[in-house]
Amino acid sequence: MIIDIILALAIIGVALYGMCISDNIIKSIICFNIIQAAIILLFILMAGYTGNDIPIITETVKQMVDPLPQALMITAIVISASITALALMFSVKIFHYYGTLSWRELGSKDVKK
Amino acid sequence: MNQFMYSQILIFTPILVSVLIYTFSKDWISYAVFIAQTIVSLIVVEFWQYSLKEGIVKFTLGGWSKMIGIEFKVDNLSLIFMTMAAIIWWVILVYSWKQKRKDYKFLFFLMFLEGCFLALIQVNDFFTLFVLIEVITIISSILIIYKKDGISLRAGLYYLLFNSIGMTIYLFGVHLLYVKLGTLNMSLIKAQLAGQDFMSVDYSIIQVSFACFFVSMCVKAAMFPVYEWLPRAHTAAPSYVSALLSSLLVKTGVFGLIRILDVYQVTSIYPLIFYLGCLTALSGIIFTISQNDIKGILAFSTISQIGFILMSLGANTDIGLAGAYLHIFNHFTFKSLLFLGAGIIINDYGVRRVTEIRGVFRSHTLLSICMIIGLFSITGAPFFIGFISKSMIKLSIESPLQLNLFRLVSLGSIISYMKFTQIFFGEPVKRSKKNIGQLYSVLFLTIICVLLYYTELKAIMPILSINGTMSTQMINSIEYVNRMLFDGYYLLEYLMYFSIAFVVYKVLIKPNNKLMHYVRHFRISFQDAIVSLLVFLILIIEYL
Repeated sequence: MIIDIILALAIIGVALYGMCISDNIIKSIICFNIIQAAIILLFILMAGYTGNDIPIITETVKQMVDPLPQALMITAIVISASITALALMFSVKIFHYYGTLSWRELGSKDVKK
Repeated sequence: MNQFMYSQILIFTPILVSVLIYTFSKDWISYAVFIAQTIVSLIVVEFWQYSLKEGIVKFTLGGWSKMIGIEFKVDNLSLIFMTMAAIIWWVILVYSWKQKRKDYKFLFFLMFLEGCFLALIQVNDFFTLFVLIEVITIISSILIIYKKDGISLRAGLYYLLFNSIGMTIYLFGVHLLYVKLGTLNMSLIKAQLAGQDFMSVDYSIIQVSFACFFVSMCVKAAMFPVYEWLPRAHTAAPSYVSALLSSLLVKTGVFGLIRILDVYQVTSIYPLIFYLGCLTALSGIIFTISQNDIKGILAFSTISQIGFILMSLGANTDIGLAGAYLHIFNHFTFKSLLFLGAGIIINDYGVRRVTEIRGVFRSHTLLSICMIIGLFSITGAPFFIGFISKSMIKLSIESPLQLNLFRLVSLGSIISYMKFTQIFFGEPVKRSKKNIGQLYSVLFLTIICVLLYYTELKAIMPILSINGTMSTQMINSIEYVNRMLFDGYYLLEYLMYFSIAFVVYKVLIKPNNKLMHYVRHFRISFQDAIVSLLVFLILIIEYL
């Protein structure tokens, strides 16, 4: 179990590193998505700490999964998806307007104006 | 009807109206926004009456237990934010009615945002706070890019991604908190954490979760190392959206910060908040002085005013909290006034540089009087409301070093507006038709601004006692500030500050200086902003 958590944290680290170095807007959006996915993974892992059975109470089910983190994560996935959609739409419009998707080139256009 | 029903009507009326407007898309249906606003205002009044009698209102949605359900809480901070929301949406609707009455998509987003904001300020649960802040971020980024030109699109993308990454850190904090405590309800967590020693090893996870929450709220409140998104977004948006963002939505971060500090009760963080607030204010002032853009000045000065609020919170006393409440409301009034007034001026003159706008006093006399009242308020002159909150903040500060820093920041906030005043003088360049609805909303805000000077301190006592009885020190300090209101000594003090600021502005600050040029065009790129965010997070974890 500890290995899983370390792997999820490693994914977050990789995505944050990518966000710090990548100059492309699309790459930044991808990194944002990876961070969100890793955190969702952490929540789902956490739900399994109490047991592995489906959370429907019957006679055979003894140690069930904690249903609350799963319920929360549905909302988080929806938010992550909508932010991604909106950010991609913005980047398409920016590409039409400036002809570039690089943060640095966008910044240098600001100084000229 | 009980309070639960009222709260639901408060949230769902604007959302329902927004959906109706967007589905029907007819001219007559857009008048429904005023009906929705009337209902919202009436319910806010009803909430005030109820809370002043009964105290804090709490209820759980759907009949679930507190451990797993969503709980709502209405205390004095929520009531102040509710009042602000009701006022600003009236003002913005009246202001933009002539241009936007047939823009059904705009009205949809505006009213949906109101519903989400009214839900946010009643939340007593960490995950629901996350969801609503994210929804508000998404909708406000759509409002920022509403002009659909390149600058606003770029600012909107920066705002959206940077704030979302801040809130991702928040989500990580939620995860850590749930692992340790098994609940996300703020009241229950506060009860569990009360009296615990935070420095022990058992609580290291709780400390990290606090650091995550703190940093994400710093991003939302535009605190010192991570405020780069704010001036971009606030200058690129249309004026009425800037007024909304700058006066109200930036304070969602302050709201979250007050809630989180209340839950965790970490005493060691308060001095850090004071000094961070001071740095925020100073850096905001330095950038404000360098700006030539009329909206840039107002946007950067929002950062410095947020710094004042944080300095007040950093005192960790009742008085400091009261000062923060007062300054949240006062800053809301005069900053929305200034932004809307600047919107009228930009609309009529067609330029945004302060050096090119001349003779506003001749061409728009009434508007200029309103804006001068706003300027005196924001610089903390006696007989204007900024004075009340700044005196309150000054009272909450105890050590001499901090007091001197506060004086420096007050002086800086006067210097930063010196450049703004030049638009009133000289001969008017161009005159054009005035929009009456726009002037009405500015006048309304000015009247609030003037009237509050006489009533605010009388009102603050019952408002503060909603959360529990006040200490005698608190009552004494309110009476002390009340005596200060009409004291000539403070007028002399302000005049002294004003003349020092004038001299400093004339002697030291040259508009075409190389340094000024460098500061004006100083921008942090997205990657550097992310790096500074991560470094800030690590430093906070180390500090705790």
